[in-house]
This record gives sequence, structure tokens and C-alpha cells, in this order.
Amino acid sequence: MQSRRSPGFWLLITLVWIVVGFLLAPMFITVPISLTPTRFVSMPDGEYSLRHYETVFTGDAWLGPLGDSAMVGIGATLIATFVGGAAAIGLWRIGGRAARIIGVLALMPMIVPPIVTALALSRAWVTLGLFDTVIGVILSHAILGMPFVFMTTSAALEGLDPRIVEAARSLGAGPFRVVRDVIVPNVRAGLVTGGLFAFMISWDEIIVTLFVSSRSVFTLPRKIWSDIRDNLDPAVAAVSTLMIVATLVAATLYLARDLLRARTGATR
Amino acid sequence: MTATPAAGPDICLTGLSKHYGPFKALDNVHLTVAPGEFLTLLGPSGSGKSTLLMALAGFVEPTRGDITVGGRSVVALAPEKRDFGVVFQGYALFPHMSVADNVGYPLKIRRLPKPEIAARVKEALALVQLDHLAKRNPKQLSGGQQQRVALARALVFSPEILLLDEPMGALDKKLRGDLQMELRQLHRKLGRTFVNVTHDQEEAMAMSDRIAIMRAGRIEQVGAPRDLYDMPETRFVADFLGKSNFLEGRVRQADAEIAVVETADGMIRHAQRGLVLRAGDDALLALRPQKIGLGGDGADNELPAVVETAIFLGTHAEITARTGSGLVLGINLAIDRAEALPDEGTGVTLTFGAASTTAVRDD
Repeated sequence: MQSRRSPGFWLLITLVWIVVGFLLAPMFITVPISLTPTRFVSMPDGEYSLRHYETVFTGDAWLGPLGDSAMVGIGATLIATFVGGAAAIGLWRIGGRAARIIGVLALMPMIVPPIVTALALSRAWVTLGLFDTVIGVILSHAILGMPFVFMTTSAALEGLDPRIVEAARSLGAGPFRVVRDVIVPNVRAGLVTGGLFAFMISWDEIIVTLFVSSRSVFTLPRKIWSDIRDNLDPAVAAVSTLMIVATLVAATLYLARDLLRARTGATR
Repeated sequence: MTATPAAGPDICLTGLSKHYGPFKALDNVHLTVAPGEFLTLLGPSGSGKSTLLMALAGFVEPTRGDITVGGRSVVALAPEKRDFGVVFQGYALFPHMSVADNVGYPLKIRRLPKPEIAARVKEALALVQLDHLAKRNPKQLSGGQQQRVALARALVFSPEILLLDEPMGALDKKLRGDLQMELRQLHRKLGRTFVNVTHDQEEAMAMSDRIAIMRAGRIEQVGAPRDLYDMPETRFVADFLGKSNFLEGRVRQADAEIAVVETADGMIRHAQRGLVLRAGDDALLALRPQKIGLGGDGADNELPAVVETAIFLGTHAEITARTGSGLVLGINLAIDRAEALPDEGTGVTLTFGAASTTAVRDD
């Protein structure tokens, strides 16, 4: 089944790799910088040091923002997944034109430019006393992440026979039990994917965060941003490198699991 | 009516209506279903038969009227409180559960102990001859197998009433025939009330104790399959349940036995039964294609006609013939002897007895 590849194919492959390299290379510049022994941003000159990683992991300067980001991210993900998933399921049940119109409304936070959302939330949170509170930031990020959960869950519901809901009810399940036993298990992939999106959006969100918090909530992107403005500390490069590594590990695990599943599926 | 003594409640629909704006999906429906009966709601699409079934199941809230089961109104009861087994169109199996889990789900909701659930699931799957597929995923099953799983799931919690919404809709013809027989046997064995919805008249005739023919949200006629076929009351029923020819005319004279109807093709003698014809009435006579013969002496009625088409179909021949007035009649001719089929274009005499026609209401 081997077929000879045309020269055009090889040209295309080369071009693709050049583009990929062009896009990804700047990211990896942070790796050597993070290993510099000097106190300022520079390429290491034959000597390497982990001192900047030490800075990241000791004291509150970086661990504090890391903790804040994790807390905000998890909180926002949970709320976005619950609200986005519930909205998608509810509108799927209602159906028709009304559902489509409300569906567009649910996507608004994704369509409206972030700076507009930022301004609106900043004013609203001051009035409601949520400005610069963890709850305020979590809610802001949840609003931004919700449309993604809504979209992925709606897509998962597309292929589901609406009659299974009625079937479950005829068998004795109340409306909430139907959601738990029948709908959620069938859209789990959509909920998880949407949740991951929501978490990633919260994790590197900066614009809205700048507008709804000042001192008491200090997320990681905010810390990086203010650090780069004030003093160029290679610790920023160390944090970036850690995030790259974490992403690569997660992606590899995900791919490995998929491959494994395909393999076992094929042998069955 | 059934092998097992019929027990359980009767279903009573009184003045049931469902309006969607100006559209009347159900229009003042009255119907009683006896305990243990196999009743089929038969009608073309849009006639309201599925709406009626879904109203019974609790998914359609009636605009007016009442549904009682064993004398108690269930209209205000949520679907999950009604305890009816329902087999849905397309089966609606849960894709994330195995066959056994699908069937066990209603028992799990009823909090039965696990060993009992396992035993009853096994029993229900054995009833539909699928015990060997318990661990499969619904997607790995054929349409007929999925249909049986849906049936087992709807029966496993021993509901007294089973509702079936076009249960054979997605199956091919051969399989449909097999499953019709199975469903009928299952009904006899269990002695429960079955209410079935279909647009397939053969399915309705094959399985039901009684058929309710629906049209435009109303019940047109209810009765045993044989009675409906032999004694349709309206043009719609005569035409929907089997084919019919229709002869229109005016009653010239009538007594208790015979009415003579003047049609464009001459006088027709009609033996009175069912709808009574009186002299001077407009009359509509339904005539089944197999009741018409070609030639022969001594028939009550004779109509000269010209053969338009003649098709040999093995068990019988289908002939269409045009009368002098331009009326085209369909004729089903049993071919038991080496009888020659008339050529197209030849003149023939159509004969039928006075007892072959049924007077129906026009609508």
C-alpha cells in the first residue's frame, strides 16, 4: 500500500514545519533564559543555575499568585461548567426558535470584546461590593468561560435522541434524575472539554482581571504582567518554562491515552 | 380475548382535546380500552394518533377532557408517576448503558435490591429472547434487537399498561411480520393492556383486538378488525382499511332488504345492512375489489366496462376497468383455475352481488 510521495508533498511538509517552528520557537527562548545564573534577563553563558526556579517556589511572591490563579481557575471552571452545561441542556430540551435566540445570548460573553466586558464588570462589581474579591474574579472568569462549555455541550447534545428523556421519565425517573442518569453521562465529553477551555481561559486571563481586582486578588498573569513592567526578573522565564512543561506533559498524557484506547479498541 | 384472564384497570378517555393554537391535534376524543385489550390507534400521519398516545403517557397535556385509569384521573400525574411501559419510536435506548443496564434502569429507580434486579432483567431479556446479549451496547444491536430491548425495558417493572409508538416503524417488512407475531403472543401471555400506534393497516389488522381509526384529531370508527373491514361506516374508513371502489347515486326505492340506487352507470341493487338507505337519499356505496367478478350469470348487478390494465400477480390479478360513465373500478381476481386474463381494451361485464356493497357516509 506504499505510494510514492510527490515532490509537492515534501515541499508542503517542509513548509508546514517551517511555519510550526516559526510559531513555536519564540516560546522556547524562555527555557535557556530561565536557567541563567545572572539576576537580569540574559542568555546563559556556559553556566546554568536553578536559582530562579528556587525564587518561584520559595516565598509568597510567586506561590501566592499561583495559588490565587488555581483557586480562581477551579472556581470559575466549576461555575462555568455548571451554568453553561445547564443552559445547553435546558435549551436542548426546549428546542425551537426561542432556544436558538437564547443560545446566541449565551454566547455573548465570547462575542463582546473583552475590554467591554471588563468595563461593564468593573462598574457592576464596585456597585455590588464584589470589586477586588476572589468571588468577583471567579464570577468574571466564569462568565468568560461559560460560552465555551455551552458550545461544547450543545455540540454533544446534537447527536442525542431527545426521546431518551421521555423514555427515562416513562420508566419512573423524575426530571432531575433524568439529567443526572441519562443526559449528563451522554454529554460528559462535551462538559469536560468545555471545562478545560474555561480553565485555560481563566488561567491566562488578564484584561478583565486588571479591571475587577487591584491588590487582594493577584493572579499569575497579573503578577507576570506587573513584574515585566517593573523589573525584568528571569523568574518570569522560569514560570513560563514551568507552564510550557506542564502543558507538554498534559498533552502527551492525553495523546498516550487516546492511542492506548485506539489500540485496545482495535484488538477487541 | 386473551389467554390469561384479563386483570387490571380500564382506560377511559372522555372529551379529550389538544389544541396548538388554531390546530386541533386532538378533537373531543372518547375512547374506552378494556383491561387486557390490544388496541391499535391507526391513522395517516398527522391524524393525532401519536398525540393521543403521548397524552396517555403524560407527555402531552390535554387542553380539555379527562383520562382515567381504573376510575382515577391521571391527567395531573407526571409521566414518571403513571407507571405505564412505553416503547418509543426509534426505541430511545440509553446509549451509555449496556442492554442489561437499560432494562434494569426502571428497577434501579424503584430501589429494588441488586440480586432481584439481576434476576428480573434476566427474565425480561429471556422473554424477548435476548438473554445472550445482556452485556452488549445498544449501538451494537440490529434494529429488531433494539426493539426487543426497548420492549423488555418497558415490561420489566410489570406495568399494567404498555404503550407502543410505531414500534415497527424503522424495521423492514420481513422482520416486521415476525415481530408482529411475537408481540401478539407476548400480549396473550402477559394479559396486559397494550395500546399501539401505527400507520400500517396490515400491522393493525394482524395484532389488534380492536382498532380505532383516527382522522384529523378525531376517532372515525372503533371496532374489531373484521368488523371495520366488513362494515366501514365512512368513506375514509372504507378507503383507509383496505381498498374500496365507490359508487355514488340516489336511492330510487328502498325496503327493509333491498335498496335500488341509481348511478351514472345504471341501477344498482344493494342489500340493506348497517347504514339504512331510504328512497330519495343520496347514497355512497363502497365495493371491495375482490367482490367484483367478470361475467357469469345470475348476479344481482352487472356493469359493462372496458379493461384498462390487467396485471398478473401470482396469487391474484389486479384489473382496472372503466365503465360507460368514466368511473374506473379496481378489481382483484382470484386466479385458481387456468383462467385467461382479459386483454387490455376488451369489453367485459363486471358482476357483484347485492350483499357486496356497503353503504357509507360521505365526508
